Amino acid sequence: MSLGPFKCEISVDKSVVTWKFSGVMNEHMVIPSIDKTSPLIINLRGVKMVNSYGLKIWTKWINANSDLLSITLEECPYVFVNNFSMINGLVTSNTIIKSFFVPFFNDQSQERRDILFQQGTDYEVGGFLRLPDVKDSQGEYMELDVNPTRYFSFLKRKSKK
Amino acid sequence: MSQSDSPFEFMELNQISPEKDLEKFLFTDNAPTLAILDMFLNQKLHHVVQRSNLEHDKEILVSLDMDRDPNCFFTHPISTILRIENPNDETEKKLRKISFEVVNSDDKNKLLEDVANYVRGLTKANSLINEVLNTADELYTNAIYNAPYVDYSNDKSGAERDLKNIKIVEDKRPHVFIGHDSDRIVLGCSDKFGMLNIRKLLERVKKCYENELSKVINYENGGAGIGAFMIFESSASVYIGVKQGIQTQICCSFAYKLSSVSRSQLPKNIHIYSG
Repeated sequence: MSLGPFKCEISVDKSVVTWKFSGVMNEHMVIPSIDKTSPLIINLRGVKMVNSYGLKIWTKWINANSDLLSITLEECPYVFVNNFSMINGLVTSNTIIKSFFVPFFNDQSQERRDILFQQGTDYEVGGFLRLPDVKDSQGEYMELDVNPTRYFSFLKRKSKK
Repeated sequence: MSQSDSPFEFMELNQISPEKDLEKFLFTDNAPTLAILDMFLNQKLHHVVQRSNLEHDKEILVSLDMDRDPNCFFTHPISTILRIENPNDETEKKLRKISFEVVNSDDKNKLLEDVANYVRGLTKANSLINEVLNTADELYTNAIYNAPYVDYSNDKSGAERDLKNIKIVEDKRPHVFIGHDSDRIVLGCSDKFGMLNIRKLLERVKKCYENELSKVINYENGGAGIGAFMIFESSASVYIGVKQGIQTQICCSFAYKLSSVSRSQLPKNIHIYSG
């Protein structure tokens, strides 16, 4: 795991803007400005860590953009989702959580797997959550590496579909 | 609040510390963090040790050490907390696996990489690695942005978070250290300013437990105001020592052999010393 500096890679396809975040969300992160008439997709897969100041910047930014057409978050890593249960303001009513990672772990084999949960298939915000059986490379069952009550609590909140 | 009014179970303390200051100690179990913080703020409490946390007996010893011989905690923090052997220079050196002196303000990334590699040598559980890393980040950030730039009232949260505002004074370099035993990782950070107001810190953490965090975040200049809460949430035990104007040292322990669920259910131990 390399804890590189925060980066945001921007791409535009037709009218949809996609930002790819990577590195550490901390006091040095700068979130670009956005045209409020375009839907925005933010891919968070490359985010390695989020500190309290990163949460401050994110919360401030997303609340300032609650009038944006839509903000779709995809491939949210554990380090980001873990904060959802603590801070309601991390997502706003115009935010769609399209997919997020759930860490599984086997203490015996010390193997770790991050499983991508997809909206509609594995969960629906305010709806259902389907936990898969996850096995390690030796075929042994792996445990959730999170407290499910906390980690999935954001799914109980109402959100735009 | 008298012992009989307490909602928690009390141990017979007079066998351990018969002579003085019993109101400083609470040995209990399953007391919620918010209730403990409330007691720290409204009573003379300095140490809470909870039976269901790890190494109950050693934690009681830490309470007594920090109370009777606080220098032991300041000079040999890891060996005082882990208590494999008596704390001294030799045992401290043996247990201290990373000893990181902050020389430049942008040393944080190097420190976090070192800490991540070290913890990954003990467990591959991402949740635990993230808890230790986040704590290291918050302790480092506090040591370079807050400690040198606040007065003891701690009414303001230090320098604005930009490295150009920061100067590391050569004889007051913060120090981050880490070590472990068979169950616990201990991570700590020490600065030579001694400007942490423990009461203010506990009030801030309590506010985070009582309110929706997005409403507690400081959106103005300075820190986010939730870093200390994140440290408390991540750690099994927190040890805070302040020699006013001389040194602040915060250590945290992590139960690295437990699952994420078990860790999140551990009732917290808190130890403070202020002198």
